[in-house]
Amino acid sequence: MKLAKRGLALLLCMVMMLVMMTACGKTEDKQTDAEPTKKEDSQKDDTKDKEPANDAKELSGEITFWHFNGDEGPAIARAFEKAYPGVTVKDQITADTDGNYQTKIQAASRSGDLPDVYAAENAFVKRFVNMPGGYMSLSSFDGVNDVVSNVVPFVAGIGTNNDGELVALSHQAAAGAIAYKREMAKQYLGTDDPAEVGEMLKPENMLETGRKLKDASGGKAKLWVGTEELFKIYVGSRQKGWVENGKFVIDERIYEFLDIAEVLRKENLEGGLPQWQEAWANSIQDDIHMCYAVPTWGIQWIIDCRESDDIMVMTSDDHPESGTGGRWAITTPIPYYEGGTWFGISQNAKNPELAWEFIKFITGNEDYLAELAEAGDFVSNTKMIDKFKADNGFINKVVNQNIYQVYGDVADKIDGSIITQYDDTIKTAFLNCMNSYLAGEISKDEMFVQFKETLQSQLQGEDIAFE
Amino acid sequence: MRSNKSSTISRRKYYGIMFILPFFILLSIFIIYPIGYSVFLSFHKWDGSIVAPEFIGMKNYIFLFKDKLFIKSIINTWVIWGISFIPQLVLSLGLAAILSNTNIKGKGFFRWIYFLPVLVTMASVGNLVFFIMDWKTGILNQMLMSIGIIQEQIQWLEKITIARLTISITLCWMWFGYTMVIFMAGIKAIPIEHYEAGVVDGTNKWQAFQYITLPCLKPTITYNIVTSIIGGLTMYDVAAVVSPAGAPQSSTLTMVMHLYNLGFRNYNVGYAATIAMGLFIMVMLFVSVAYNMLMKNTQQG
Repeated sequence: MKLAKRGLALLLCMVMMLVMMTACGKTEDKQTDAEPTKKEDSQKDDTKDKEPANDAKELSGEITFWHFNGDEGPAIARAFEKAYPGVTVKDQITADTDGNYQTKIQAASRSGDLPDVYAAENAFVKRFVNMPGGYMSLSSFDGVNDVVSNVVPFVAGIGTNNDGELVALSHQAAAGAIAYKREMAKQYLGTDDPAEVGEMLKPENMLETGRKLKDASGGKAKLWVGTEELFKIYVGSRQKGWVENGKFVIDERIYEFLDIAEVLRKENLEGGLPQWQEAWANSIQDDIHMCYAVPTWGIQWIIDCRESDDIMVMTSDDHPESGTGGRWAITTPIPYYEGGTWFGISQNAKNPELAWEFIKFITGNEDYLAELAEAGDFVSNTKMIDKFKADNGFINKVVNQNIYQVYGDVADKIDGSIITQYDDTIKTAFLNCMNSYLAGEISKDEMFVQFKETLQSQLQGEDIAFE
Repeated sequence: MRSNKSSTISRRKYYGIMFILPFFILLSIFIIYPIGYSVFLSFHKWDGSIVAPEFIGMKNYIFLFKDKLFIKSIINTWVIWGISFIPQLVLSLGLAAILSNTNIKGKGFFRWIYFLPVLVTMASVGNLVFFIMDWKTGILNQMLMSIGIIQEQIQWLEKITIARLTISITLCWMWFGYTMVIFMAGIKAIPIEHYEAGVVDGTNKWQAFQYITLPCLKPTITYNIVTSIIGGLTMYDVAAVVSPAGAPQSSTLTMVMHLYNLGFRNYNVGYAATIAMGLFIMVMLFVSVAYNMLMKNTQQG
């Protein structure tokens, strides 16, 4: 009996140890909430089966590449390898959960172990771009001027550090639009035409549109899924950055946003659902919440991946005219930008020339960019943007519109120079204070006092004057 | 003979040192060195990059005393801990006394069920609480609206008192089982003769608890208070999940959350190290005060 008890105790210990071991995993990690897994990995699968692209220049060698997204990272690596069979890209994915990816990059920069190329998400791109020991200047590489002249200006602007050096570029230009559910617009507003709906969603008309929607639906429908959507639009459309010449600045757009948000909340014209939470994700399929802030990547990663498969795919038989029909549409009454991923070459890259070819490939290779566009992405290459803009048959099946004609018109209006490395901290602090204000717990003045106090602590040590 | 004895003693000392050396090496690498480096960093400005930390003297410490958010986080931590610990102590002591000293059926079952919350991860519990309390989708609002108690959804977690209470109740629920088990072990160690003597003197159950159990449990109570202070002052998980970034109005921002935000979100490593030092001193101070107060004049029997 004693022996049996001991044996059982030993077995339980071993089981506990095995359970602990199952928690240990590779560095490769799952998707974060910000970029959910695509339903169809069409881009990844297609690249494996096609013939290698014909390219006059032969490249060979090996580069190391770090990314935080388990879909995008490997897809880019495999695309480059397919184009240049002599090249090996050793990709490593670390999700940025709790800042793990950023901490890893920081530690690697100190130890001199950075990979040849590593990615920077919009939330921390400015920090990486200005990080000592991080990216190297791209100005010394052959053909950099050609590459930059063919990239949307704000993309290059964001990839430029405080010393004026270009250190990172992106394959995508994350201009923003408002995506709305056509049925709701048609039923309650009388039209689903993007131009007409866009007019209704301009700031001066927005509240009236919200009230009309609410009245027509008997209080059921909400114009916005949440105030955070509108906040992103207003933040991305500012004229001034949060910090200018060492001073903390609040752009007029922020005050405008607060005025509108207050009314939207008071009159129950918005759903109050924070982005990326389960309720927000589920709302994509409902017929209650009409509008969402959807930048270029959002068509895939906000709408397409969450919508049911059988609702929106339009064929030319059903709706031959682009811009009509389907469940969703996009319109751009307020130019803004949100998101994107930049890539740069590390200062201790072992193979900087090949790394530069990698950057050139993802920003300039027409075959690769065409594949991205077919998959629903909005590329940053201006030649490709013009090409797809001119092609009236290039329809995105999610919104049944040519997204290059829609987003393309606003991409040039975005100013990348106002983005700072403090933006993410400032945005989080603002939203927390704003939620208390919209809940009626504090006044607007108290809100701004708390907002500044929070930032004075969070940004302690930075040379920023708060007045 | 004498030299044989002294060489045996020094050999034994040598073996002793050898046996404890691996532990001290690990302690030095993972505890002593990081603490020392944190002290070093607290006098510097550093963003974690390859640029060497810049010595700035006492500037971080001077700002620490002026940092309204840090002072707020101290108050938040104490309030949330206090509200969670006092009921936790009373509840666990009462349950331990009942489950140790009376012949009730299913004692083992109750012991097990009360201990169960301890085994659930804090992050899971935090998420569960969030799903209950969320104003738009939480079941609390849905339940109250369905039975007509409220007409509109209430933003529970935007109210300072409710947000703090939520975290405190969650922590109390999670940890009372653990505290109860420690008290049960302490009660079991009390010699039965004390209670027999009490019976002879005519004490009832409440008097036995008051005059025998409580005094004999003083070291156990001290242990629970000390460990709770340490755990409470370093509170992070539940608060971070229930109210991210310390909302509403930074009323649930704990000291460790503030430290984490500064060190790992804003990469202000020097100031984060200063906060760590402040936290360290505070924990040492309050633990020693609590220990001395509680262990004063402790007598057994």
